[in-house]
Amino acid sequence: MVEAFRREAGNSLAALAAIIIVLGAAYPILRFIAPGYAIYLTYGVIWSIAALGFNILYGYTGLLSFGHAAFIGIGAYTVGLTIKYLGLKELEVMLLVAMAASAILALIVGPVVLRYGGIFFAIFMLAVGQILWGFYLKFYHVTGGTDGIKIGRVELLGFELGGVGYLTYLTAYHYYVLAVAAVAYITMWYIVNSPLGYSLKAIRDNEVRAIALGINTLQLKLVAFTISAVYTGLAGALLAPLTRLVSPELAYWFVSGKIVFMTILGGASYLVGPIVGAIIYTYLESIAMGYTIYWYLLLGILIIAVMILSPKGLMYLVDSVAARSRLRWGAWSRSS
Amino acid sequence: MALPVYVLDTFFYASLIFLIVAGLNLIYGILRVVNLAHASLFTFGAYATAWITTSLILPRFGESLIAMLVLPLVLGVILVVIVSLALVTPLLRYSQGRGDAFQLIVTFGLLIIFEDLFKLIWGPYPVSAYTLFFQMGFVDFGGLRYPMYKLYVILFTAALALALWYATYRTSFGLVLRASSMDPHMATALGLNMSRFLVIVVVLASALAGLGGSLYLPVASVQLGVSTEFLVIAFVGMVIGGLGSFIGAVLGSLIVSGLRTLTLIVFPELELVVLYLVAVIVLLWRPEGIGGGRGW
Repeated sequence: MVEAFRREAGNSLAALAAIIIVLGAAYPILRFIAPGYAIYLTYGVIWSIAALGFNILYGYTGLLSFGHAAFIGIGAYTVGLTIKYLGLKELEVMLLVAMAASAILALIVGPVVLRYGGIFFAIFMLAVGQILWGFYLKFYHVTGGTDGIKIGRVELLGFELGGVGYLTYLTAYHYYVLAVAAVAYITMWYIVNSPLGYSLKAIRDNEVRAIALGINTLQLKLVAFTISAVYTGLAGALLAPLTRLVSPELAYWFVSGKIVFMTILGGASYLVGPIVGAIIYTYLESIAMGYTIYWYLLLGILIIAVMILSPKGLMYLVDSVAARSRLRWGAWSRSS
Repeated sequence: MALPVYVLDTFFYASLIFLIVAGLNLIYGILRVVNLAHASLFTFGAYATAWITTSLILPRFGESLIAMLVLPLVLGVILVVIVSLALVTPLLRYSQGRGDAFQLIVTFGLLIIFEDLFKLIWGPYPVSAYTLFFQMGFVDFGGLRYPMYKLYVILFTAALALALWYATYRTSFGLVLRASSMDPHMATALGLNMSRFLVIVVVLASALAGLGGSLYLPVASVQLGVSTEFLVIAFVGMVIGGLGSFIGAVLGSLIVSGLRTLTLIVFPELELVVLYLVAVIVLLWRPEGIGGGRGW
């Protein structure tokens, strides 16, 4: 019973809906009580899409990637380059192009990196990230090198937002991002609860058995990898208008580690884990950066602490507390 | 530049890569994991050498050649070993048997801790100490000038590799090392104190990486981000040579270095791409690597 409950709570559509509502309602409240911190909610929502994409590989398929910054970079640079060279303004089009670009990259590198699981996959992905990061730096006549590409205001749903105040623009952008995220969350729920999702879990739990059951593991891994890339690329594209600058920094290896940490912080075995982790991580980072320039150091200690103390993440703690109190409540209500 | 210079430079770079790959392979042999923080010890060795040179040797011993050749290596390696015993070894011991993902994530945590420790201690700017390099001067090969220091590094590493080979194949320590990298469980069952042996191996691997960094510093500056650069290249060496093997470390580092020299001449932008394409081709052709598949 306890196990069944644990499996349910963090993975339900209701939990996703609750999170979406909280993320929508928290924004005006934050704007009112702590205006400086409202923008980080938008950042958190964007990173949650990336972490969710990362987790279909890590939590559901059992493949740990240390190179998802590559897709963040692809997404962000798609926005930057389409604005710079094509003069595009509609964000929707750019999002679609970014998702397509990420999918293409995934389909090119996937068949190679997925062939060797485990350590090979982790480090090959790290290398893919480093290679692309090197490209952004070295092909500076196209990408602007370390200076990056500046991003002006984008059009949301066809609305020209050049004239509105900056705060209004940010608010509009938050709800725009949240709407995209809601679609992404719910799509992910359908994916992990579909036969595809179950096959991926079968691969994670025992790849040999999955092959014996007739699952084409390489093909399914490629599907998961592509979905993962599309989610992360989408997040990268959404980041660009908010950072207002696309620079190689977005594709640095540290960003990949950030996505890994968000996921394990929230809990990789829960659908909502990466979302919770991403929001908490973004606030942790923004607050810590205000006090210290040694955020890597703190984060490294945090990563190791989480892995040792609570490798299943915060959602597991929440879930076990909830399960325990439900049990106690049940015992109490029966006895009285 | 002439061809002999390219060849010698290839050997020089291979020496540095070998010192990292050998350590990665040693640890992989026993733990079956790639220590993502391993190249950080190389960087640490380099930073420590710069610091020892500028704040200890130059003020106290002046530009004495002996002091500059011996002190950074000895003190640098001692520092690296202390740091390794304090940070790396306990974590690797703890993560033993907890799965690939656990080990990779924990060593990644270490990697970024090191990155900030370097910034905390030595600041965000590149650090260098070229004194030794210029002090040793150049040798003439019939009109061809080559830095003496690089030759020294090549010979030093070759001697070290020979010593490692001897320790591996001619001593009882090597016997235990090879046995435990072939089958850790069997080695334990035969009475090997695995957790103590693991400490010895990790310290040895760390010392090699620290030596590498120490030897590297006089020719280049060291800065933040160097660790991942070397890690990503060293991993190609691991894959091409064969994970967890001594011969693999030698072959892998030579091949990687040769390829790197070639691409740097032809199209430097694609250095990593070419290296990884070759790694993939080797994996398709021989999944256990060119010299791998037989333990350390």
